[in-house]
Amino acid sequence: MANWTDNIVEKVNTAADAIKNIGDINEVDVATAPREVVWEDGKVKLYHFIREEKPKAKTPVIISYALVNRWAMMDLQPDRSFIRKLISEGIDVYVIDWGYPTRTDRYKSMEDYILGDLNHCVDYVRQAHGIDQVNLLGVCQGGTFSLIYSALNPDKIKNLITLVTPVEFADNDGLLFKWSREMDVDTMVESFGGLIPGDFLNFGFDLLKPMNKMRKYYGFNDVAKNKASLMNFLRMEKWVSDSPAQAGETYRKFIKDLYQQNKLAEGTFELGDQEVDLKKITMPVLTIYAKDDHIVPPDSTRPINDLIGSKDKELLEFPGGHIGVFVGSRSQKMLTPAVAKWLVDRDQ
Amino acid sequence: MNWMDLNKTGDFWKAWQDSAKAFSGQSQPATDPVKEWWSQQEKFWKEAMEKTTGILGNQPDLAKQWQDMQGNFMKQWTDMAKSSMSNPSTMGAGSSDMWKQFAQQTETWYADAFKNKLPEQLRPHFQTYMDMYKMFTSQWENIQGMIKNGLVEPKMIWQMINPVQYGDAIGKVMGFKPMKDLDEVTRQANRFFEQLRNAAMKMFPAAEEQVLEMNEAFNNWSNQQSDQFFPFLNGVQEVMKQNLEPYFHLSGDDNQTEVLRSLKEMQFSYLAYLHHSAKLQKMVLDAGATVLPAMMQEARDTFGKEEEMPTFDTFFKTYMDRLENAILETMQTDAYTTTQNEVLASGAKSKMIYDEMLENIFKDWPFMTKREADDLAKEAAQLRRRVRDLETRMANVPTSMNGTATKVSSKVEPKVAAIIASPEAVISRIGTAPKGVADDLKEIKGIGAKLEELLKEMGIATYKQVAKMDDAVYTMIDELIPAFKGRAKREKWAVQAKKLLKAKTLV
Repeated sequence: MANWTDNIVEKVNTAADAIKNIGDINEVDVATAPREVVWEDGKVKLYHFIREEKPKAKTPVIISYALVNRWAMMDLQPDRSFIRKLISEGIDVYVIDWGYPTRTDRYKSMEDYILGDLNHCVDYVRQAHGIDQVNLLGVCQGGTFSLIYSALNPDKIKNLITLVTPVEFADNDGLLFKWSREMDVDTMVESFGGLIPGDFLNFGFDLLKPMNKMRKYYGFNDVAKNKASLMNFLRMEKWVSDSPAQAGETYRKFIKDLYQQNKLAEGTFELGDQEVDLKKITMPVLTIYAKDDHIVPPDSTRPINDLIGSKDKELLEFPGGHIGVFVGSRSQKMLTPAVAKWLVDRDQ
Repeated sequence: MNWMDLNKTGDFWKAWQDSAKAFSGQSQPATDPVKEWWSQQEKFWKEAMEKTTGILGNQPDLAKQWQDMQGNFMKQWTDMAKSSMSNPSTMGAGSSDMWKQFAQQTETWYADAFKNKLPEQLRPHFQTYMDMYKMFTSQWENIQGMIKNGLVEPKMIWQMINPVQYGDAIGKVMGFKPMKDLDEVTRQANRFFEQLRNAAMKMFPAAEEQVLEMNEAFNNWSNQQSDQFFPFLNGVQEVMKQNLEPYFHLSGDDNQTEVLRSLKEMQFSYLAYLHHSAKLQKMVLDAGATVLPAMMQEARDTFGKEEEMPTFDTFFKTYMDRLENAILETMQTDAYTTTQNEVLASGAKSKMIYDEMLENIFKDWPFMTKREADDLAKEAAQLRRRVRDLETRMANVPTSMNGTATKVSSKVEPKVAAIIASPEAVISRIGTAPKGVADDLKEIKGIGAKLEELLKEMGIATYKQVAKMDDAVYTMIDELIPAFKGRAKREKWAVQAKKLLKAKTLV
């Protein structure tokens, strides 16, 4: 009898809470840290995050996220936000929002992104703060962009941080690498009308762990019991489904020069008629990779520190996956404070 | 809150209430958790009523319906709860079927409500999860029974679980379209293409011969390959049909032949695409089909010896993991990569032919075609490059000559050579001076020896060039040589140069 009572009380209470929680949700909010647009050109925007206290480090950091998916991952939920934590640890933060490319951007090239947009953002921050050098933090594909940029403009970057950033594309058995190596990328770009749909990119990532999109629903009936956990679940879902398309020209070069020919690691990569020599990166570099990353495996990330010319360089392993780097509790407790400290220590 | 959800809520509360009322003959006293639970419930419903009034404020009808329903429910629920508390004997165990039914209803309601809050693109994933979960929960007793009794041969398993449904579920997880009966698909595909051919003949009587040729070729091909047809053909064909039909009416006479040619090519490349897709799917589904029998056989071997029968959750999660491993193993093979590339290549080819066909259909129409838009996008890309070149040059302007650049370029070495070596941007608007030809620019008021030297370093050496200067060029000169800012415009160099040029020609 007691069991039965407990059982029914629990079931009905769960249902009642769920009704309330599910009914209460009208909007799933992500990326809520207050910010302002300080620079924009077409679809690309530079945000400056508003802070109340003076930063501990006088050099601000610009975050360059991947073109795949959205930077909102860096500020997904208020209590586990990479950006908010970085701010509270005393860092002045800017983020580049690459926007949602459309068909008119089909010929937008890596040159346009790196020598154009990224360079403009760097120059804007240098000018706004009256400084010669800024800190750059690149994530995934945005990290690869940051490495390329820093090699071409070492005088503009004070410190460089790469997060789950692929640079070595050859010695890798990962499916994404295997498939990309053999893909007829010209045909793909042409048939998609010059714009690679976000769904297509996601489909590829999904195949790497096909059951992940099922596993996340285990125990979904317990999720809604608690409003916070329900909201966080829905925030992640919103992020997953928010995938911009990629400009065909950029995709073509990324696949051909990097995935297929591994040019950056081999020192033969060129951008806008300039050779990109990673040895020219001599500023302090912090390389962070995720141990269980199945999208950008450690094998493709760890070699960064061997390829650059910096003397002050660190390799930091994060225990988790590609996404856990940003939203896990360990990220909040360990990673972000470590990143902030690393920047503060090198602010002189 | 979704109105349908509320109805369902009402349903399951009613079921719960009925089941609670049915309990009798028990003599357990009401316990504190029950009282506490009740007070929570009362609070919740009160709050819910208040809240919804606001939310549904602009939809009075809906608000009233919802309130009536809740009010009604509240009343019944209160009566029932009060009576059960004052008379604990009406609360008791029993009526397990009612309880089960209630639990199932709750689960269904819950899943639907949850699904509606997910982003639209992800709802099919969740639905697939639920389908798979239900497929296994509904058979769980049978699965356990078969394991206990050692009835784990694949053919017995496939009698219990419908292999088509099983394959569908895996296909959906992978993002494939469901496979159905091959013959039916072939029949439907043939019917579709026949309609397409008839439509084409009707629209373009002149092209009858081609259509017949196409007809024959297609029949030959499909007869040979009919067993290879891939079942989602049907759905996609419908879409193609809807997409294609209107275009027959739009195309101008001149484009008919081209359109028909595209149509024919598309048929074959599309069928090739389906053929490759079917092959790919079969590889994955074959891998998936081994997992359940293997797991059940292993469970039979260990059950009763060293291990207990696994719980449903353990079984289901293990199944998912092993299914993934089996599929990944297949995906690691070179054969899979090859097939996947064939799927991508043939799909891409079909899409390109389709685009080409649209291009021809709309040739004479006042729309911007893909090709034209492509040209514009290319032009935009070239402009971006030119702007960047100019910016790079501006950034390299020496500190002493460019006040605006000093702030960001304090570390950049002056590079006069860079400007002299690449003055195209500056002087492209006014033309270039032939090699060795130079006028005496000092004749122009405002140009002294130093300025003349700087201008000549930039490639500006003749009256003809100066005569073509406009505001944009003046600005550029101002920025490059800030020391003489404003002078060129103020002294109207172009006007002066025109006069000097005229005088020179007259001489």
